[in-house]
Amino acid sequence: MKTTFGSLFVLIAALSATAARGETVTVPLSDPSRPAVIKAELINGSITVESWAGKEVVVEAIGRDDEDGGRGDRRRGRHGDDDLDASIDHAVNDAVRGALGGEDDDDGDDDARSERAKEEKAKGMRRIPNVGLGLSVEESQNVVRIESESWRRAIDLKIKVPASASLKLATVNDGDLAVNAVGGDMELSNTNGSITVRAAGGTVVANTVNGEVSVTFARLNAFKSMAFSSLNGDIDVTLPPTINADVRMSSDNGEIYSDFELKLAPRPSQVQEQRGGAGKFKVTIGKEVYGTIGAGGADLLFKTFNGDIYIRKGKS
Amino acid sequence: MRRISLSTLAIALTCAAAVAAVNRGTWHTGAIDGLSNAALVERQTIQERLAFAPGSGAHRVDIDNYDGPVRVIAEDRDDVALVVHETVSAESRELLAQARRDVTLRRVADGPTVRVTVCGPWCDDEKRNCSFHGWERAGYRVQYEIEARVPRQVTLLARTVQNGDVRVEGVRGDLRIENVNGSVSARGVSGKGVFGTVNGDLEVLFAANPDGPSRFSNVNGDIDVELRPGLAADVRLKTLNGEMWSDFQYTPLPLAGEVDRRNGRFVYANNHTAAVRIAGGGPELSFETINGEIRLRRKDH
Repeated sequence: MKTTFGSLFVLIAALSATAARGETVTVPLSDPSRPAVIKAELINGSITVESWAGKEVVVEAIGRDDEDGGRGDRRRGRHGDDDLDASIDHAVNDAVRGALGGEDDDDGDDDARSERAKEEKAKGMRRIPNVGLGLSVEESQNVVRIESESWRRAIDLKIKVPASASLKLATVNDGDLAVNAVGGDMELSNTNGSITVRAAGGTVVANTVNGEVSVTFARLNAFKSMAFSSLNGDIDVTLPPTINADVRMSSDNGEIYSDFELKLAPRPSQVQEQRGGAGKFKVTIGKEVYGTIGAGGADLLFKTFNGDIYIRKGKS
Repeated sequence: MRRISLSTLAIALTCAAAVAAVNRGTWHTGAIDGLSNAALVERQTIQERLAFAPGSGAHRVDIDNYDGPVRVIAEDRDDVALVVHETVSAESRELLAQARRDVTLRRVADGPTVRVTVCGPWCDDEKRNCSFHGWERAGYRVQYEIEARVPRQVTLLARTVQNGDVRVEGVRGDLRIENVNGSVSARGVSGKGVFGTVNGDLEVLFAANPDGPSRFSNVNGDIDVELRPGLAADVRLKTLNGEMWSDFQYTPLPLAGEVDRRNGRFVYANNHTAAVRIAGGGPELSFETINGEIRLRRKDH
């Protein structure tokens, strides 16, 4: 019984802590009968989008912990409980400077000196943690733009959208893009993280640099060209079983696997003319593999450098 | 030992005096908005007393400078004693005359209000076409170093734009103390107010805690505010490149954003970086800078 109460207390504490660091914005659409377009952009953090039965777009932003874990009780200076941290910092800094062949502290560069001056001025004071999310949400004619000006701190966005919405999502560091059961077209861009789409209903273009791209489709009635690409990561795409498409696949340091009866087509060679001194020309045979699924149709591109490619046949 | 220290002191004093003199002499050649080839310089000192109309109620003093420092000192008195050093520099006699026509120091005692305003081509109060593109283009330069001694309790505006700091000492009331290119220092003040600069340091030392909402803003510089024990306030803070510090115990408050609807658009923004409550909460104190630190100090005595 005691344990139950204990864990309940912990749970409540955790919830209220989250509530204090997050904020939720409900955005009414100008015309709820038409599909919405959601454009969300972050520098640090994840974006998760899910469809729901409501007519509004609900944006929840949660800031990750500050450098000091959001305690806000770090103090500067030589007196107080957290002195040890500060003096260790100083000792480490001094040691590093010494090891790098630096001279006296006081002869350090201007940056270090102004940093010291700042520290001196705030000696013994409590730090007020930066909990701002810098969140801005704008809606105009069914287009919802979501941004955060917070560049030092990671912000995670959880967005609920009507199922017909289309998406344009981008993040750079410290986060993944995840989309579930959204029916519109989507363009997803990440740099240091993965992209995961489940039960997609529209055209998907997904590109990351360091991370996996994983996409499954619920249905795909009419679609335009799609592209799934990464530099360091697998590409794993599950397509509807009855699809007709022309595919291009390329993995420099990996394998390509598929459940479909892929009819491979001859790869067109690319001729590069070098108008150099000798007037040579060069024929490059591309590393891409060409093929068709079913009767052929819109173009699908699967591309990675270090990773495998999986093109799976979904269940009908 | 003693002799040496005495002579050192003497040398130090001489140096200080020399520096002060040099400062006074070169005061008009600031880096910002300077006049590089001034041939003629005229200086004068204006000393004046401006009285409030008797029985006119709460007193108000406006000191609105443009080029040069402002200093306001509260004293046990019931009028305003003004000392102004004026420096007019120009490239020619004609431009000197033009400067005298264009730029004036208006001193007005109007009922409960005393107003000291530097008015130049930029003051378009007569709604004529005015164009001021800096002293360099005008070919002359007029600067004022304004010192005003005022009653202890007044509604105060003290402001300048460049080439000088704004310093206020001991005034109690509703305060607006502003600068653009220079620092703001208010010491021993009380009441409430708006304190701000753009490029410079902002320092406000309260003799008694603010009794109403107050705003402290900067762009490129720190904000240092010294408050008294027993402070109870709701504090909103924002800095983009800097840290925030407090001597006071606080509890975090939820950050609320604002929704704005205009022209069929829905706009939600939440730009503050922290909100905290000190003691049981009270008047809203808002702090905002972009490149600088924010420090809330407690002064115990």
